[in-house]
Amino acid sequence: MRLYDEIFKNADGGATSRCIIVPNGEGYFEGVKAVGDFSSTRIVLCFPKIELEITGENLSIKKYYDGDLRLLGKIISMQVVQGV
Amino acid sequence: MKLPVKHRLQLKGIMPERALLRFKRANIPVFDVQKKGDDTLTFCVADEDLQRALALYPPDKTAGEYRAYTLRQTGVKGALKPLWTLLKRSGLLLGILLFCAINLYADRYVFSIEFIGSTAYCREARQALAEVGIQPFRPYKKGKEDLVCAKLLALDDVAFCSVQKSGGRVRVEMRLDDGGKTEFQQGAMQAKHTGVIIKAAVLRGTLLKKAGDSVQAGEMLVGDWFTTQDGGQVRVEIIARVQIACEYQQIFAVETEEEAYAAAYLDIGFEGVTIQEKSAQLCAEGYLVKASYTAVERFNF
Repeated sequence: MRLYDEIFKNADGGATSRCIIVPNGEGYFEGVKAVGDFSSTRIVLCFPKIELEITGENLSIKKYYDGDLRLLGKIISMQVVQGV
Repeated sequence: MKLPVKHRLQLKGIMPERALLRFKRANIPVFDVQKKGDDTLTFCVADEDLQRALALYPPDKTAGEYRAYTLRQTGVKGALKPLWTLLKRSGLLLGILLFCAINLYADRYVFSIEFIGSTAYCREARQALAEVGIQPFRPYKKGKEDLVCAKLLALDDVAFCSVQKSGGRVRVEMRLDDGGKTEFQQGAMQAKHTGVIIKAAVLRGTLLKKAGDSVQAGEMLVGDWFTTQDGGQVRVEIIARVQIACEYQQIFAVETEEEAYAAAYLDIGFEGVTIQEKSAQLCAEGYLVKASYTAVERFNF
């Protein structure tokens, strides 16, 4: 979408790290470098410059390949942790 | 042959999710990743990536060697799982195919002949089947069942017959006619015709009239008892036969002689009746029919 292109164009580094989430639903993340802490209620995704802490219910990774990760379950909150 | 199935793997170790980094670096997609405990992670890899995935954390280990993570296969997932299992066990697949082929081929043959119902005509049935080529350990001849049934139904007392092939067995079902149950009439024997008794044969019962006696229709001919030596009477079922010579005469208001005779026959009856002489004369009211006949009356005879 053109809106997304505008957002990503202005982002630092050309936005190699992106995510699309559905509140109380699942999410899709690009540019995931590694998976940190992982459980059914909390997952930490490591990106090049930040870490993302996601909390929810019944969390599971549907697919993780080449930096793209699809997260299933009910995402309740997401918090960016700086300084990786 | 690659099938679209996924292999379930289990990874154990401290913070096993960290091990996913190796899979990412090896460009191995992982699916359905779930944390089953503090140190257990389960996920799936595609069939074509299985060997590479296992190579990252080989299962074999020498004694005393420490492994941070252990990886093992726990199963297969996917709609084609049964096919995948069969292809891995080619001997089983070959055995199943061979069994099916043998069954299909053997279905053309007859291995035994089974008789259901009456077995009185077993020998004749086998002979009839053999004549059309249906025998044990021979190919079955279709379309000959009706011919065999026709031959068997021609036998005495055969009421029902069917021939069917069921698997490797030919079933022959035959039912015999039981001939019906005989029930004796009860009570005394009464005359149905008026005339003179010619002769009488009583096997059971008491004859009340003798040869030469006149008898009217409705009159008792034979009693359903016999007298014992001490004068008592015992009830019995009559078995008797009485022949009566009768004279018949009647005027019928009809227009033709044939109609007069027809009406006379209907009036006299047909059972046990033999007409000796008959005549029809035209009169004012119609036709006067005269006839002499003998009637044989039977009671349980």
